[in-house]
Amino acid sequence: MNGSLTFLRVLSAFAILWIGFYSSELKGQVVIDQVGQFENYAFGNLPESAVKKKLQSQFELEIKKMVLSCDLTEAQQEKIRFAAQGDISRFFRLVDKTRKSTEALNMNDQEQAQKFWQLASPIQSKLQTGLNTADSLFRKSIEQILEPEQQEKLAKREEEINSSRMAVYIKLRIAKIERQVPLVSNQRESLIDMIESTLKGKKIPQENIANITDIVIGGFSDEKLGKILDEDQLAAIRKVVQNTDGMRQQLARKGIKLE
Amino acid sequence: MRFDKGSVRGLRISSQHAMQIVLSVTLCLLAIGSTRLSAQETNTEDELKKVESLFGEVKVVEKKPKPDSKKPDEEKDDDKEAKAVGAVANVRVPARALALQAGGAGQEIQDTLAKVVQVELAFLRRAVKLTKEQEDHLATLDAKWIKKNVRPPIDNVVNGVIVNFAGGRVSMTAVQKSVVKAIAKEMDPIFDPEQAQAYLDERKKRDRFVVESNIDGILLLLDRKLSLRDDQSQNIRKALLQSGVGETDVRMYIQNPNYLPPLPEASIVKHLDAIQKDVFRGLQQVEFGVQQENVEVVIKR
Repeated sequence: MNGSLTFLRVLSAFAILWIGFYSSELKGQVVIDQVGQFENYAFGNLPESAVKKKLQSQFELEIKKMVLSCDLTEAQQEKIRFAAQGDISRFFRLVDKTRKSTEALNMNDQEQAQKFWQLASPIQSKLQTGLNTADSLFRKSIEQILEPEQQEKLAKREEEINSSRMAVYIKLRIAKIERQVPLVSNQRESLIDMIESTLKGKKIPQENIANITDIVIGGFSDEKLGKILDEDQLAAIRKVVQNTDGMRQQLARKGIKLE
Repeated sequence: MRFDKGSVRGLRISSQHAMQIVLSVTLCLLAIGSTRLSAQETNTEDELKKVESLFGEVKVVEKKPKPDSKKPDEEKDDDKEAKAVGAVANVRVPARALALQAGGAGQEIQDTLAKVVQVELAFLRRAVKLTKEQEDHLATLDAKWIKKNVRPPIDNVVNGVIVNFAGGRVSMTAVQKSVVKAIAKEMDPIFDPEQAQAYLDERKKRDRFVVESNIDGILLLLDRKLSLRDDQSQNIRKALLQSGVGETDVRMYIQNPNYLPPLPEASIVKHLDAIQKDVFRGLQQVEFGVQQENVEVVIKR
């Protein structure tokens, strides 16, 4: 009985040591299943067929929206669809090329793993942003296929979309500013109106949209803001909206004056 | 040390015995672990007392279920997935654990609450025209008053993780709600009916503005992916306004447009066409939790 107990104790100690050794080994290395690593990373675990379908659906939605905004004919739709197919093929050619370049890389080697991420990242970001970019065949075909009237309608529609998006950014920023500079409803409404009317008809570059509320408020004179805000609020909003002069000057150089 | 011959032979030959040994070791480890846990439980009791001395009784609010009405078969799949992903996300966190999280940060919580109170009082002053006596009363809403009357929202659980005030990762909306509730309770008896109504109206308008801004932010995210028609946008907006997702802080999602916050899928999907449904189901809904916010007080009064 005593012997068996001792035996069990020794075995337990051995097992604990073994577990400790095994776990420390695991800690020392990153174990990655290399099979399908490219797809896992670039496609977010989706099979290639699903990615293809996803891209086709994205283009199809764009076409549907254009049908509504500028009355695309069936023949025009087909041509644009053909261009979209070209973009998808182009994307998968890039996928194949990248996959081949990453096949031999060993993910357990830090340097090679880093090279893998560098090669695979553009694929992932293309998938995330979509293939409808300025240099896409889809976009170029639209420019060539649409009649001037349709182009005009489409541009108008895009302008509407952009201004409603801008309005959302403005409201979200004002809601956050209010956590530090409380506003009552009429002040809030007036401030938003003032910002929106300053931006009306102006095409703001994508990179400035997130900060546009601060840029516009920063450009308002004390006199203008003083019509809406009291003295304490004015001082407080100046502290919250700081360092926008550079961004405003940058926009002015692009011909966008916000006053 | 001398081993019994039979046992040694058993070690070499029988996998059944080996299994028994591994099981014994596991049991031993579990026993050690549980002893440690009970020791922690004792420490938690002390911490809980400390916290309760600061804030009174600690109450737990469970994370609300995702606002959705899924088909029964989808729910089953979700349950399976939740179990597979990890029980952590669904763990009900005991009150004492929450208290422990907040325990080391009592003063920090009080400081943050004091800042939010200051901003809310500035809001109140602009929403309501105060008498001299009422203005004097506001001056009494000091640190001592906050400690006694404002219950800090330390019971927030996001994705099963306790959101700790100390790390600044508590939702400021939750903090503001606690503060507003306490101030309204304090001031309502002092206000005349018109003043009370004016304060309530302004609060409602502010809350509505925040909710609508967040909903419009969600629509913007959806539109980027689904190219919504105007009628679809309007219908989804209505559905979202009724769903309670307007409490979601969407700013982080606007910055990371590849993700959507958890949404009431059923009320969105019914307004989409076949292609949009496909795309929508492929979108990732992720709960980011809460964003750290600057609570520096910049308004004088």
